[in-house]
Amino acid sequence: MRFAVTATAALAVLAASSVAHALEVKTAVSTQRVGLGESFLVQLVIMSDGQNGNALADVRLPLPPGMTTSPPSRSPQSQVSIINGQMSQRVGVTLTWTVTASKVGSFKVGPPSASFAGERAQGNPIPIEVVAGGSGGAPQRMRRGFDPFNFFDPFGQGNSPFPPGFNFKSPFDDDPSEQQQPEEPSYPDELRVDKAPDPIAFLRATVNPNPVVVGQQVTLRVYAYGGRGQFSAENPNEPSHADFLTFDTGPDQVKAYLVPVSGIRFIAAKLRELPMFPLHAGTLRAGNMKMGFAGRGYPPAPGGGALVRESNWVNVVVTEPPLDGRPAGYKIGDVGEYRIEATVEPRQILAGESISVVAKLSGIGMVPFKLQTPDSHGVEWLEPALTEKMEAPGGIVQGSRTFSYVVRMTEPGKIDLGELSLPYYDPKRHAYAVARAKLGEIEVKANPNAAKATIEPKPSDRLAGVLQARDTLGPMPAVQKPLSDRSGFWAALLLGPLGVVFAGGALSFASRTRAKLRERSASVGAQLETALREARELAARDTAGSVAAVERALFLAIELKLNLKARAILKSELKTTLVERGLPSARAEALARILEDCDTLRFVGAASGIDPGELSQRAAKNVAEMRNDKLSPTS
Amino acid sequence: MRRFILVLSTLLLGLLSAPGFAAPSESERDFAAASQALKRGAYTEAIDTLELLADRGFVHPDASFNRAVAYVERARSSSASPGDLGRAAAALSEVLLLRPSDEQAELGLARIRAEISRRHAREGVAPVMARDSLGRAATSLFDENVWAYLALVGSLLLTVGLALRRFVQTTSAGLAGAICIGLGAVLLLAGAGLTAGARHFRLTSSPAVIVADEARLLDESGKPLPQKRGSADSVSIPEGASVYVLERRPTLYRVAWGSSEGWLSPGQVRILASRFQ
Repeated sequence: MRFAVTATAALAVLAASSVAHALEVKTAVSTQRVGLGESFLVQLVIMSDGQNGNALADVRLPLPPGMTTSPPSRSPQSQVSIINGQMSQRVGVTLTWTVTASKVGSFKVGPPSASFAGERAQGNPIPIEVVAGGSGGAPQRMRRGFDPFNFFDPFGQGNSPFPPGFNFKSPFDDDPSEQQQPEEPSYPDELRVDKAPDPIAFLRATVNPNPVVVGQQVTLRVYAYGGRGQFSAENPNEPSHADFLTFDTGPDQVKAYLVPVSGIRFIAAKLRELPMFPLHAGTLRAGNMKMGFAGRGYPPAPGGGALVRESNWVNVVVTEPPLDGRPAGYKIGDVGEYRIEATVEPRQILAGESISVVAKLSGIGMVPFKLQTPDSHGVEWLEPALTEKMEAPGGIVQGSRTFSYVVRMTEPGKIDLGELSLPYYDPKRHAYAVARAKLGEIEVKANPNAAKATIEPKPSDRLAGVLQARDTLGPMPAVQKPLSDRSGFWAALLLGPLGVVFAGGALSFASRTRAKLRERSASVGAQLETALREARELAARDTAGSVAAVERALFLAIELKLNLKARAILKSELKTTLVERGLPSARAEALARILEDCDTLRFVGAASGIDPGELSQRAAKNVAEMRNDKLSPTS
Repeated sequence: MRRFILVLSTLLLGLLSAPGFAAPSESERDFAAASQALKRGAYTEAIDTLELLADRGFVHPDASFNRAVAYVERARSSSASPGDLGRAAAALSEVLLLRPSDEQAELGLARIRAEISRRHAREGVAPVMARDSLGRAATSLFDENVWAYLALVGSLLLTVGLALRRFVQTTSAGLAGAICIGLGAVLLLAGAGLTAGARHFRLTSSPAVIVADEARLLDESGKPLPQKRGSADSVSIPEGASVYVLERRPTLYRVAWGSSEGWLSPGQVRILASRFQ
């Protein structure tokens, strides 16, 4: 209970003052009731836009008699705010004095002051009650929300990085009392990461839902994680989202949490939450936000400046809503859940006058900018005036647009205005729907003063009557597939000419071959005759020459008869081979004997008893007879 | 009496099952609804219905024609939207692609383009003409199949000529063969070349029409394309002009307009439905 009272007292952020237009100054105290001899903390937080530097000088804390303090500790501060999609950074310093009370009574401490960035910043005086007996009960520490390691909320205005009940030890806090009973940290589930891609610092981008249809809201979220303690965000840029229409949700509430990832305690916060609407189908990319991490624990970038990290890209798969069930007039991108309310007045007018139609289109989604107006003869809808009220409670974009039409009624009679409508696709139900508002009837009285409207086309209207609508669908023209798409077309083009060329070539070749064969046959016969003649002539004077001529004549005769080159065959096998080729056995034997006699005569000579003349005659006789021999079919 | 009822029922059934009483398809119903909307002056409604038909893949020259009528009528009314005449020109160009002999569509397209030029001239914009490249102009002189048939005739003549020269050994046959070979070779080469060209253009580009008031040619990164002669002005294509879409990306289309090439936003171009879809 005592702790609670003390804590309540400590929560009192005493005051905020703005001594200079560029400086923001706040004063805080850990408690306003302390025991005699106890210490309490006084803090002065000065923040500026940083344009004039961050030089600190002339630090003062006036103390009443009975209180003492040591020189203040100084802690640089950095604050990031995101307004209308633009991130801005403020810099400052936190001065902390530890004041010890040595006298009972009510005192006024301060006001603390300092010169910062060339301007004098002064806080508020702090009333302190010092009681006897050390019963003040003031804790020695400031409340967490005032902890300078809350980099996004150094003033502790409810944006504490540690939610109520959070008592996890800060990596920068050496208070031993808290090491004894650590509690599990509490942080939003969206900050949970299974594995840290970088142990020092990283940015992470997510998108949800995915996949979507064109025009359906997706939300891009970018988170920053710093693993080396307190950091300030330097030069953060806007995440890329070229293929999306974005809805600015105004300044983001940035809350930091301590998130353990892979054994490292990261200070994590959601940097950006951006509702987006895909503009077209495809796999669209978003993300890639860059930011510098500056702080004592963060090494500077190699080129100087803060450690820069960039988030991942996220791919959003976007399709068009289905064609099935699509109503007429549906425009790609009209996605959400809508309704239309409309008022029409007056209901009775004269021809040529106008009525007012005010339609309010409201619902969830990026409310479309256009409604379908009913058009008919004698009714002219002018362009509407548009007012809108769009917001994103809970990150869901919704709101209304009000269309104020002026409708001119040109023809008398009871005119049914029809209805205003908006076909849209409802992604929750995965179906199309049409928001409608019936407009009712207008009684248009004839206006005797109005000039009669001319139905005749204006002379300048050159398109009047050019086209007459067709009432029925005529016969569909026969579609002839392009010939060149048929596989045989290109072959057919070449088939004829090439066929003739090839046929002519083939015929020529055949003719030439036949002629060659004829010539060749004639040639062998002539050689045979020559060989026989030589054999006969040489028989008397040149035995060896005659024998050679006989042999040549026999081989030529065999070639001519059997188309067989008999020189390549062993003489011992010749007879068998000739018989196999169909020559009569007797003829084969006679030829083989002549060849044997040739060999005998060549090697033995006249002693062999073989007469060359007789041999040549025998050869001539067998050659002549062989020409008439019939070849056996069994060969 | 029963017999009479039986005969009557049979007749009714027979009549209903006849082809003339076949239930109209959804597309035909939508077409009829659009026609009714046109008659009562509900041009936007007619346009929405006919556009939905087109989105569903229904391709018919009369549906495209009525779409053109609806756009023209809306362009003439007080609820005219920018690009209505361009869309009408696109619809009529589509009719001519589907039914080249449609004279009313041809006349209407000429009148619409003249009206667009007149309006531009009234605003002080000089009319810009772009001629197709020589190859595209040559191949588009006739239908692709005309070139194909020409090539086939050439092939036939060449075949006959070669056969006469090769197989008939008379002087007159040789002369006739030589003439056939010369004529056939020319026809074959020209016909096959133009067929191949027409096929190439058909497969690599889609005919389209500019449906925006004025479409500035962009480069690949989306910046306006400067004119060729170093002028600071960008190249603009007038509404209703015929272009060819060479490449489609989600955010940009690469188009050829005459001898110029560049990129346009998809919303500025209407790709025409083809007979071969």
